[in-house]
Amino acid sequence: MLEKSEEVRVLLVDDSKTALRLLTYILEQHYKLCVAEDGQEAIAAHGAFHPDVIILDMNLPIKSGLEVMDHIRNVAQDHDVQIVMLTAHDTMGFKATAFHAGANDFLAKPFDREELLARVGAAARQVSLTRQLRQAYDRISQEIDLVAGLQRRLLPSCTPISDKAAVDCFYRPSGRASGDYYDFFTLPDGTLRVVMADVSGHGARAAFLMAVVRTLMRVSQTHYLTLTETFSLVNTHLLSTIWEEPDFVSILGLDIAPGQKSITYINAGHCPALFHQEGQVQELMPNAAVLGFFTQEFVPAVLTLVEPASLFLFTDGWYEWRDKDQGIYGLERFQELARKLFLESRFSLEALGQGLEDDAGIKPVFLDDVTALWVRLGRPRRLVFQGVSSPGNSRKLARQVVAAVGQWVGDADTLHDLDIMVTEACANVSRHAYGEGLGLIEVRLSVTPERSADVQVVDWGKGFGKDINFEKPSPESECGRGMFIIQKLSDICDMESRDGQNILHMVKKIRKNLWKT
Amino acid sequence: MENLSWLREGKSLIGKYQGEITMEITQDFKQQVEKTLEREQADFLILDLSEVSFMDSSGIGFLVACNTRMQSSGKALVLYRPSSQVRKTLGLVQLMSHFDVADTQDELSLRLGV
Repeated sequence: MLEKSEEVRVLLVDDSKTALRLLTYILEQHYKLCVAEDGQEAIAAHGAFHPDVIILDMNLPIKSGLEVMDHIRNVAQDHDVQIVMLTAHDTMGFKATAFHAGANDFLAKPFDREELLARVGAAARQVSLTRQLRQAYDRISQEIDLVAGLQRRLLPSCTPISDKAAVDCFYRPSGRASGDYYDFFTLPDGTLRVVMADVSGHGARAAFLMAVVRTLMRVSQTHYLTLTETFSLVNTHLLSTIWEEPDFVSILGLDIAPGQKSITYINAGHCPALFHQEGQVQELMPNAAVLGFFTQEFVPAVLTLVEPASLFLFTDGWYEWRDKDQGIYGLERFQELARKLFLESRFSLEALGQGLEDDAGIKPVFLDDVTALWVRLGRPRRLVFQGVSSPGNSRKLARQVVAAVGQWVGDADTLHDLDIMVTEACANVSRHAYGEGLGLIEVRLSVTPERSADVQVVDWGKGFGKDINFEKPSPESECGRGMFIIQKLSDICDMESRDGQNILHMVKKIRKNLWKT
Repeated sequence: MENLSWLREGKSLIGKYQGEITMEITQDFKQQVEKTLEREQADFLILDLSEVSFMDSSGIGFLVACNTRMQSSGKALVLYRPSSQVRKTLGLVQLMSHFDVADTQDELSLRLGV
């Protein structure tokens, strides 16, 4: 039975005033009513009155009953309202058409009072059930939101750890609560511990297990456990809680000791992280099975570390999505893309996202949680940044150059010079190189410690044009100062065009005492 | 523009901008100045640049245009407390002396003759 608070609103639609009066007379004691006399009015009343049930005559002027239904179901996207069609043609063919168009029930004209009340009553019960379902769904949904909110707080935010180490994070849960977990923290002896894990499944169950894993990982920080001890602890706990359940956890944990020239890692069934140093990219392959299935011994692997180096840890969501041909994008293709970006000195999580889109020819629609950590150790000497030639990107590219050189040079004035030089150079590309359109700007930075920062700003369009002017314009001129400024701030500034590239090459010499040690 | 605020004081109109003056915003900035000047009919346009963290050559172009506009109608533009970043950009093209600059409240009062 419906409770009193659950008022049911019924819209009556019929072009016959007599029929409307009769319907009103029978139903007004039980329901809140609204009436409409043609199809157009019915659509307007649907929008204003928000009925739960519509008694809809099929033969209406202006817009037919079928058109009204089409509007409600397909334009207004109301799939909840119960539509009881009312017609004298009760041929099978017509009924089938009306049911296909979205009718829920049928009442033949002339109708019987008891049958009318029974059919509207059935529709009202359906309305009540839908409401209850929705309330239950909302409650569960709120709970999941709370879990997701708490879970988000368990993940660290990414800030530079020191002048010589930084971590960038990417986290995009597929549902609201997720099974992916990443972490990084410093152990009492200064070792940087980095963790990437993936709990099987999604939703609240995966989020719960993720929290268990996270707690145990953090115990390893406070109790100063080795990687081997930590993995054994996590595995033992998981076995005691989810043994005989299908859930499992893949984890990659690695330790980077301060000043030590090595990386220690255990990869328990997680997709291999990539390790980039000295012009080479290697994979941190699994050396243990996933956790939560059986007891096992963990033996860490050790790799030599030569700075500058960087590590890219990720979860399978990055490559398990469907490309244009509906095939899975795949780990190999993904690794190849990441490897290429590393070797071209232009790896970043943003460049990786863009690279996926360019490679697949579509924007990826990720099916699973997508998580990544990019750990940078030491200061790279060569970096490449790219962007589309928009005014906003000129500043963004300049800031990226300044941040990279800022790892080497502490002098604010020198960094400000570079900021202006790169902004002006990129702004010139976005004004001139691609006419009215947009194109690619690439900024190649090369740092020679204690000597200089070399920056090349490259476009594949028309370059800076023939009428490029290095002269100082008159004081009243409102433009044309960019090149003059670049020339004043740089020690060497030249331009060349080769292989379709237009390269503006700028060198800023930086005095020895301005370099960070 | 969120980071541009205006203040009317006697015959002067004071605009304070916080942030970066670059190609991205100069068109917008210019329109705001034109619109406000039309409405306010001030004799002095004072641009408070103390909180400008970066300025590129399009920013120079914008200041030059403001100056020209004010002078051509017999009025004046004063740059008030330009930040070191603004000074550097203007200095590079040797335009610091082209502008009327006030670094303190007293200097400003002197310019305005109050």
